Amino acid sequence: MLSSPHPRAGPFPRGLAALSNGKDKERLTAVQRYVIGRVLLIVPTIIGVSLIVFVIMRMLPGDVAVAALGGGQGVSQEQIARYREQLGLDDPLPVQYAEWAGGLLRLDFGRSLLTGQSINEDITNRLPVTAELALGAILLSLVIALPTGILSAVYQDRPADYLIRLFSIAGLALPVFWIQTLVRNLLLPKYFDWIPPPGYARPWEDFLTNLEQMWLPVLILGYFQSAVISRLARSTMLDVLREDYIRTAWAKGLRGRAVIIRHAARNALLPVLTLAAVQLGVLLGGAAITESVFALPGIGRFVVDAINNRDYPVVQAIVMLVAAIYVLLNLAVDLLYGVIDPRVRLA
Amino acid sequence: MHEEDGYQTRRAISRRRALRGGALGVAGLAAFALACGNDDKKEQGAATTTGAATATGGQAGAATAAPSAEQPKYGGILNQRLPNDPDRMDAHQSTTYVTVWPFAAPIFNQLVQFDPDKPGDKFEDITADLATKWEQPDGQTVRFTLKPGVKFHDGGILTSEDVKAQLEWIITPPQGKVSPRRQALAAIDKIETPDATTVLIKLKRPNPSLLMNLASHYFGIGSAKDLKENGEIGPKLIGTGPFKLKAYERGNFIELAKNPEYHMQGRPYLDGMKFFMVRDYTSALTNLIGGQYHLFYESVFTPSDQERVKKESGGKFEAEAVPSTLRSPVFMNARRKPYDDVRVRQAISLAIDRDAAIKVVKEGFGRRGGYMQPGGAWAISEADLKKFDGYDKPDLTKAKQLLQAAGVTSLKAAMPTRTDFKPFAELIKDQLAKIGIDVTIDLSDTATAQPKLQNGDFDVSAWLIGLNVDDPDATFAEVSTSNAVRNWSAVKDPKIDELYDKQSVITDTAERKKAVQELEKLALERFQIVTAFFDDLPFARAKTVRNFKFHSSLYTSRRMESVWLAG
Repeated sequence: MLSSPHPRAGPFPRGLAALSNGKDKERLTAVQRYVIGRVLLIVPTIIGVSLIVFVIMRMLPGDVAVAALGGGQGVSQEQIARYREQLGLDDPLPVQYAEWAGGLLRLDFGRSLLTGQSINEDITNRLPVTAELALGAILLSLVIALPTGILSAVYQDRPADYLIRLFSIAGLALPVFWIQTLVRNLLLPKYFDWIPPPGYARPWEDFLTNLEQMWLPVLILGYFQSAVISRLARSTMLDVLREDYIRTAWAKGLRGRAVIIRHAARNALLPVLTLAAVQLGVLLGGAAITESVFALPGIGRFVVDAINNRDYPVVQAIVMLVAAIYVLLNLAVDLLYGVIDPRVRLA
Repeated sequence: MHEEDGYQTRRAISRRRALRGGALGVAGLAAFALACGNDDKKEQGAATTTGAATATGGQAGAATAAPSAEQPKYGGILNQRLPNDPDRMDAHQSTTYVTVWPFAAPIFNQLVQFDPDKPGDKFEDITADLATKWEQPDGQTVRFTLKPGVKFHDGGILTSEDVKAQLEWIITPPQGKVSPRRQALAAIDKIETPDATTVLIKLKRPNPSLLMNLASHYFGIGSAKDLKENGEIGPKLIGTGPFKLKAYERGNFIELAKNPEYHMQGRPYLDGMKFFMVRDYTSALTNLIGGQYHLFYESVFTPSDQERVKKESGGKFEAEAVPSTLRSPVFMNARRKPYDDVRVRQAISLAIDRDAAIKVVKEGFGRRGGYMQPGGAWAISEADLKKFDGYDKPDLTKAKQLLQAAGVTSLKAAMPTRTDFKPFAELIKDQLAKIGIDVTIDLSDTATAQPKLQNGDFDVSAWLIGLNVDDPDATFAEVSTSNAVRNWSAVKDPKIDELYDKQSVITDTAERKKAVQELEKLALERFQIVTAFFDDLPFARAKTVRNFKFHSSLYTSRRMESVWLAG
């Protein structure tokens, strides 16, 4: 007789409960070992990333001294050479790397070559803006994508499915930059006499203004993210719905909601969760276009400007930061797997 | 954070309100236009005209009186847009208007300034700022008398020692600092301060360009104390100007607040200014139409966009384009054959259709010119300009003949240039193709493209050059003399150097103009660069902005001490 892989298809917290269960002591140790191993893996990953980004930035053509001197307008080559020397760009690469890596160990990203400003301060100011945008967009995308993905799978090849697929495919096919520009700069001003207030107000300082400034970029970005997630949710749901244990659940006479939500959706969630985490990482790394169109002072615009200006320490700092965020997000997702799917934990 | 800027009242655009505002704006504009005609009254001081350097001027405070039909109104925040953050906070180390507008012009005063009412920024338009008068007891000494009792934002009193410290900083910046305009003060031998309000500048040679340079916002005077403590004026921005830095959030906005102790009584009228960093031009234009800015500038602000702003804002804005020192030349690398042959450079000039370039690249916002700003104080006449090959009409037949005479049958040319110069580069590529020159454009950012030109790693390049002021020394030392910082063509001519040195020390303006024009003609004959056109600077202004004129330079007339907002 076929049976569900879930011996006791209980609620999600069961996984957590197991972690503190005395009988699972041996498994707990394994989990701990797994977590420690993953955390330790962060070290070589970060060192590898630091070397790669350092070397790549030095391989790029261009001169930060020229950019820092406003494109060199009215500046002689001697002045540019002297400025390069002052910035330490003439030092041997290992010396430059060692200095930078030493700063990293102290969590000091150094100063922008272009502006002389503290990169830590810049990141502290800019990361919350990007985080608000990214988290808002991802949460919204999940709110849209999970129900639509599930419904689309449940009502496969029926009108609801077609409508949802059309909605998702539009999100995949249309360029986000185009939609953002169209909505922000044409549709809303022309038909609703509305544009977002200028600048960016931090939510804890002026919540309402922040809301006015952020709802549109979050909505548009959330919709585009939801398109990807919804498609994946639909396809994994379809796979799961064809599994034997789902057929068994139906045969047992379980109510539809129980089968769909508790048995099918729960299993279909894993890849969706992974994708959402990856998407979140991508957005935290900088939604540069969105930030540019909506004039949001986030990480994305910052890093694009830094790349254009060959502002090495800024680019390196942000790449390191994003790498760390990715690694931690992946770790968090892996740990969550154990919570969502006991099979992962048992394995 | 944003409560005080008043934008909430503008963030929702009401068509009805906009139209109503537009009607009122037209009425206001009429009053303003009427008033601008007779607003030359100065607030205080009398001119001292001594020596050639003070053809006019010497009046303390160039602020214009309020138009008689409309009393100046106190209050309000003037909003503007910047495309990005200033590259640094100390304008003495910067080379962009993005730094000058928020961090130099409103916060610091210079010794002298260009009269805000006279958009040409000519030598005779120089008027007083911190100096109440200046005189030249001999050809190599300039004496500035400072206005007494001028206060820095930290309460300190401005003295001649501050002026000396700042100018010496520019000439010899401390270790770790850059001073891109130190060359402008190269003629200064020493600076003396016989008393607290007198600055004596001793020159190595007569230097009539000195005042032109000192009048730009790039030469603001900081405090000696600040320079000593911080090594630059950047971090604290302690100036004597009408506005003080209130807040700066990188990538977001810069906020300036009124300096209540400003040395010009009753100024400024505005409570403050705010600059929003908006990179995306389309979004910035939408914001402008929505009334989020009072003043607007962008190099690609085309006539069609200007019309759109005027129309869609319901007439709340007026837009114009002002002749400027910005020019778009083609460099030809004379280190490489066949560009070392003047006939090849001449042929390139003959292939370029200036009118088409202005029409296609600038939508008409440009004008023909050689080296000095066309229509400015120094430039040769248009008739004289047209005598040089290519500056009248293109002549492809003659161009091909010249190439043939130079032994050039087919030519491939590498053109590295900046991505933002792409339209100009493509136009040059098309036009050179007509005489058999096959150009390959290599687009990249400034940090990549410019070193190629500096290192001579190019054949030809379509570029853009901006100068602070329309000054012969600044112009020819930028692109023409053997040691010019941007003589990227490497066409070096001792005769040009000789004429440059000659004009540079002539203190009589009329006589100097003759020498400058002789120099310009010689440079044009050598085809060191081929200037396709001079750009006009496109601006927009809300009709509520009073007592403000756009100048031919982005580095003058941005202090806003006498500007007010009506309505």
